[in-house]
Amino acid sequence: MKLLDTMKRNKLPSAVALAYVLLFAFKTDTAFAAVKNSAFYLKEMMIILPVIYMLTTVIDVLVPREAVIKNFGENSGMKGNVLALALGSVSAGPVYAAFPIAKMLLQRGASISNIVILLGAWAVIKIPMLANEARFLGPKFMVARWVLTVISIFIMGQIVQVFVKRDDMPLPEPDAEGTRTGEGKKNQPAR
Amino acid sequence: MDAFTIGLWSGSLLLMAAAFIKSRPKTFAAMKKSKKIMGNMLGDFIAIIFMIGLILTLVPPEAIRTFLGSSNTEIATVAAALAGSVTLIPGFLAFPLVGSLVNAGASIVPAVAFLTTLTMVGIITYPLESSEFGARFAILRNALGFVFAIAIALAMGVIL
Repeated sequence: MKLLDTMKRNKLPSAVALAYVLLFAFKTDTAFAAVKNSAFYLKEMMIILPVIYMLTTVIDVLVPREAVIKNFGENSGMKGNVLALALGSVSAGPVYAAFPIAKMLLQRGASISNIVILLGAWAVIKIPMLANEARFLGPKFMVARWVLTVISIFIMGQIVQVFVKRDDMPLPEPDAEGTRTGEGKKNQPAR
Repeated sequence: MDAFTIGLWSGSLLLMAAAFIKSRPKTFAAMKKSKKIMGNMLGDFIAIIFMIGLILTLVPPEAIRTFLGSSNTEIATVAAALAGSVTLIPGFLAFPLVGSLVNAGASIVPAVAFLTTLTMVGIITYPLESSEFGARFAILRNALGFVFAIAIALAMGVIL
């Protein structure tokens, strides 16, 4: 029963583990190839994870709550949007690596629109990637797609802000000292 | 490690040093807090990575070509946008692939739809996003990403 509980709490890891077990049993070659393909991403993750850990920590220590509210909060306006875009653009690693940082900022009072912009920029705008795109598809293609994407991310931020409220999110109580951050996940009833 | 990653590492280390100088106890408390936030996600991170490996093996990037090269642009665009949503192919694989297709004369609309949903929509990361930010947020963000990716693709078709 305990195993079942653990599996229920970790649906995705359990599902993937099961897929691999089956694959190893029936198509061993494919399973090995998949592990080999995963290794590259695992390495990419390992390199960037400590950075995410440090940045999440640093935000908590060095950036006062008031500063987050002022620069990324509901009333930060266009300045907040541009700042979120800039922060997301000087990033590395996959978008899910941004989740801890986004969550920390959200807990410290960042607005939902700015979180959407941060995640969008993190996913789409990477300087090495833009260079790559220009190389293979031409600078004109790259610039046009970049401009359209930035506009889209900004509009998406505004739309999500309208329809999603803080109460819809599994966040712990506002950042008081000693809050048990991250517990929200387990306490939130499934929607 | 590329220069960009080294820069991020150096910057983060400097900021950590600054945090320690500002307040050691506060930094230790924050480290604990970050560990908790990330600890919840780590299992999913690893699962996502192995899922990417699995998908790349079962659906090699070359297979995406069939979607993108189809002569029916409307169907190709939607199929390409869907393919981009379920896969997480890194840019250094996706750009040359799409580049070679476009240079060979394929329509850029499906190509752009694919490239854009690749980064803007994440079906694989949805479970994690949903548990961390709530289902409403995750569904809306990804659905809008899909719609906007198609809009961007159509606009690019007009512009270029």
